Order: sequence, then structure tokens, then C-alpha cells
Amino acid sequence: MVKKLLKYNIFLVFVLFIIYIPVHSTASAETIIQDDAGILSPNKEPEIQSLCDKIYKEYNTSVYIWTDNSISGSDDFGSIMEQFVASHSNKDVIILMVGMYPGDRIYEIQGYGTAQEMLTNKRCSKILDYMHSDMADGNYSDAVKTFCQKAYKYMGKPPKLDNIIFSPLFQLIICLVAGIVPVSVIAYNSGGRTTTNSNTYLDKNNSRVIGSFDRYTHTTVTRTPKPKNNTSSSAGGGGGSSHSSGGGRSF
Amino acid sequence: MVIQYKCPGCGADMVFNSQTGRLHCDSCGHDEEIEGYNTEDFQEFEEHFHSSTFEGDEVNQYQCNNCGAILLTDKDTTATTCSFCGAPVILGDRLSGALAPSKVIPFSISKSEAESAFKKWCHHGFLMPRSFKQADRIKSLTGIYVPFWLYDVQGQGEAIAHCTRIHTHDEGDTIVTKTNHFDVYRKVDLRYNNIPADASEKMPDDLMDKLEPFDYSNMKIFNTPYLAGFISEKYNYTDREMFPRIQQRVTRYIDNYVSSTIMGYSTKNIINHDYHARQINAEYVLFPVWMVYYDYDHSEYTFAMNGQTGKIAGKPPLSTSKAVGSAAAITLLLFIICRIITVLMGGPVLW
Repeated sequence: MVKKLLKYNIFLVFVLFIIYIPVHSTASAETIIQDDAGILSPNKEPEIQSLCDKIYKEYNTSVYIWTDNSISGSDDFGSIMEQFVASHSNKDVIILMVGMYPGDRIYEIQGYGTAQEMLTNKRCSKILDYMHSDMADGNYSDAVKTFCQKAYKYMGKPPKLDNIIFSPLFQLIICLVAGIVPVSVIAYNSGGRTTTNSNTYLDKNNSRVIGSFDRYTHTTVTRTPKPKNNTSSSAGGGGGSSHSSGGGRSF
Repeated sequence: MVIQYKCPGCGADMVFNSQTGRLHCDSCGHDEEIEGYNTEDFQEFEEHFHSSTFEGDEVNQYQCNNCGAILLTDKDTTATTCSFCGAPVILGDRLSGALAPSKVIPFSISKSEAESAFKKWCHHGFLMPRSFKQADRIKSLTGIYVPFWLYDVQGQGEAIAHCTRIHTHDEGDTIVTKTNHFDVYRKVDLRYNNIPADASEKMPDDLMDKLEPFDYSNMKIFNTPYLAGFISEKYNYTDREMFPRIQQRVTRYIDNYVSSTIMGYSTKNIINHDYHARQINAEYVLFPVWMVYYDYDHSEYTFAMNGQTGKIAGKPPLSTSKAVGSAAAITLLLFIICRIITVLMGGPVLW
């Protein structure tokens, strides 16, 4: 009961802060950086702010970054954030929450609205992975910057394009091979090609198979599970709104 | 014995004409049929010569019947031209007995045709340096009858292969792959006719192999007039000495044949085989080749052209910048296409 009250207090405080008295936060357009835990370097905040603004400007999606000392891994981030999003006008939201509760530190990414479609569970999880080393080393500002950069990248690319065949590097390598191979073949054959083969001198009237058998020996059976489609963006959620999520990471 | 063909009309030297397939006199334009040509003198000489002892490598001295000059030939030459008066001469003693070719494919492509075909080939060389294409520095263009052995070979082989047929179907959330395994056996008896192998030590084997195939339908019973006006060489290796090359080739052919008879499987893997190639017959023949020597960038490049079909072989210089540029252009074009498709699907232009 105490925990539940605490949770709602946290939510209330957060909403009050961002709507009415944003003492420790910076905000522009629809971006809100609420650094209650005081872990972000003030001189890096403008850079983070501008990255978030870029996401809003190009994809009309708000970015909320919230750090707090009292949030721990045992809190239900999903319902807290869903209520927050419900109270806000822009329903296309990306949220990064960092809970700095001593001994139970956690960070999580959630996507709502358009961001739910673009930042799938898998992508959220990937961003969390990209951030992990900086989070573990205490480079929180760098980790948040990485979050913004990756979120921006994923918002501009439908999840179906996560397949490696759409990767520019992969495409470049394939195109490079496709460019080098024919030129190499032409260079190799520049001295003339051997155009005879095993049929050129074969006397078909006097050539035949004089003995053959095809004997069945045995059968082997292997069973493999069907690969699951991981690009689905559905995820947890309660309180009437669904969202995507990376599932949270302890650090 | 030096053989020269004189025009019955004007007495000038006659040469083989690749266009008409006849002996031709450049002075008066007279043509002579070659098939059925009077070779009595040569046959008489051959009968006499065949009974005498002769070492293939023996160096004889020959004199031109026209000017009396000593003919400059090496030990393998069987036909050439007099370096003093230019008369076409044939060295009969090097074309008799064991050195007598049984058949010949006459030149179908004349010197001027060969020259223009070679220039055309150079111009179409995609990766050749521009300066090479424009240099037009043919140092010499020589028509040579190259000695070949034509083998008839029997190939026998047995092979055991492990083959599989793979079927897959879905059972709920599981993909079931069913693999049926088979032991497959094949025994083949094959016959290959007229596989050529060049028997001249001067000619690079890989170059001569690339000139194949020759059209045997135009192969003639050997007669010395076909050589008039061209260079000709005698073989340096006997059919027995050359056979290992053919054996290797036929073994590869047998393997391909056996493999082609194993059909209807998802995978096939020949795990054991025993292939044999046996020589049945070998004929000594002369095939027409135009040798092109080309000067470029302080080096001499050698090309060979099939004197019957016009097929060209020989390694030309390649332009590194053209090769790199072409590869880069193809890469860039394909990459742009890939990115356009990606963008059309909603992706970013680059990253």
C-alpha cells in the first residue's frame, strides 16, 4: 500500500513539475528533460535538448527524459507512464526513465503512439544495449545522447527495414562484390575463354551407362521451431494504452 | 627435298589461297585445285625416303630452287619462305614417313582478314588500355600450321555417390525436414573422338587449348600444297608422350558425364570413383593458326588466332584504372538503386 502511494506520488510530482513548475527541467517544443536525480551534465543538456527537438520537429514525437532517485526496478513503469501520456496532449511519445534508487538502479525506454510502431520492443532493447556501457560507467549524459541519436535514427526507418538487406553497409558490400566480380571475370577471360566442354568430343552413339543402381538406405528427420517474427510492436501495458518497451535494464 | 609449286601458265610460285581453297598464282591469277593434285613426285620421293634412315631431329641444309640461297630453317620447320627471294618452300623430307600428317585443316582466314579481325578484337577489349587499342603496332602476323595429335579415347568409369532427397513440411510451430538417403552407383563406357592436343613445344598449351574448337567437317586429307605460303612445324612430342594431357582431360570429362547421369536428388556427393582413359587411336594433323606479335610499352605480346574460325587467345595488357573505374561505377550504380528501393520502402537515404 505504502509503495503504491509512493508510486502515485512520484507520478504526481513528475506531472506537476513538467506542467507547472519545471524547476530542475529544461524544455523546448515538446521535449522535456526532467533530471531529478541530477545525473546529467548541465553543459551537455543543450545538445541532448536539440537532438530531442529534432525528433519532435521531424516526426512530431515528444521525447521525455526523466531521472529520479526514488524510482527502482520494482516500480511499475508501464502504468506510471501510461497515465502520464494519457494526461498529455501529444500521444506520440518516447520516454526514457532512469531510476537511481540505491541498490536497484534501472533504466527503460517506452514508445507510445507513432513511437510504439517505430520503436519496437526489439529496437528499444537494442537502444538499451547501446546505452549500457555508458550507464554502467556513470557516463549518463553520453548514454542519453546515444539514446537520442538511436531514437532519431529508428524513427526515420520503418522496423521492416531492420532486415540486414536494407543496411547501407551490407548493401555497399554486396554492390562492391557485384562490381568487382564481373570486372574480374572480364579480366580473367580477356585472354580468351575455353569454349569446349565434356560434350564437345563425346561420341554420343557409342557412349552409355552400362551399370547403375539407386538404393534407398535410410531416412533422417529433423524438427526445428518456426522462426518468430520479432518486428511486432505490441507490448505490455495496462490502463487502456499499449506501448512498446525495451523491458528495462539494471545497471 | 624442297618442294615448290610453279604456275603451269607463267612459271611463278603459287601459294595456297584461303578464300578459294586452291593454289593461286599471284602473277597471272591462275588457280589449281589441290584435291587430286599431282603429287607423284612427292610420293615417289616419300617411298624412296621412307626406306632410308632418318632421324627426326637431324638438321639438313636446304637450298631454294628459285635463287639457290640456303634456306634458314630450324629443325622443326616443315614449310617456310625463302628469306632471300620470298618463294614459298616445303621441306618434303620432314613431312614423310612417321612425320607425315594424315590430315590438315586449311586456312580459311587470309592474312588481311586476320589483321582486321585482330584490330577489331583489340578495339572491343573492354579493359585494355586506350593507348594499346590505338597503338596499331602489329610487329608480325604469321600463318603457321601447328602440329596436333587428334585422339580417339575410350573412357570407362565407376562411381559411388551418396545422394539425398529432402522434403520439408510444417507441423504446427515446427518445420519438419525429412531426408531420404541413397547409395547411388554408376558405371559408364564412353567414347571421345578427335580430342586435339598440340604437339609443338614452341606453342603454349593453354593458348592452343583456347583456340578450340576446330571445325572437323572441313578437315582434308593432307597434301603439301596446303602449306604453300605458310610456315609449318613438325611435332616435337609423339602421341604417347602427349597422352597424359589427354588422359587428365578425359578423366574430367568422365566425371562430368557420371555426375550428369545422377539426377533427381537434392544433394549428390561422389565419394568414390575409378576412371580410366585408354587411347584407341591418334592421328597427326596440322591446324591453321595465325600468330600475332604485338609491340606495346616496351614489351612484346603474343596472340594466337584460329586460322579457321577466327577465335583469338592471348593475354592483352589490362588497364588498372579502367578495371577499378568500371568496378566502382557498377558498385555505385547498384548502390544507388539499392538505396532508392530502401527510400521507396520508407527508409533513410543513407544512415
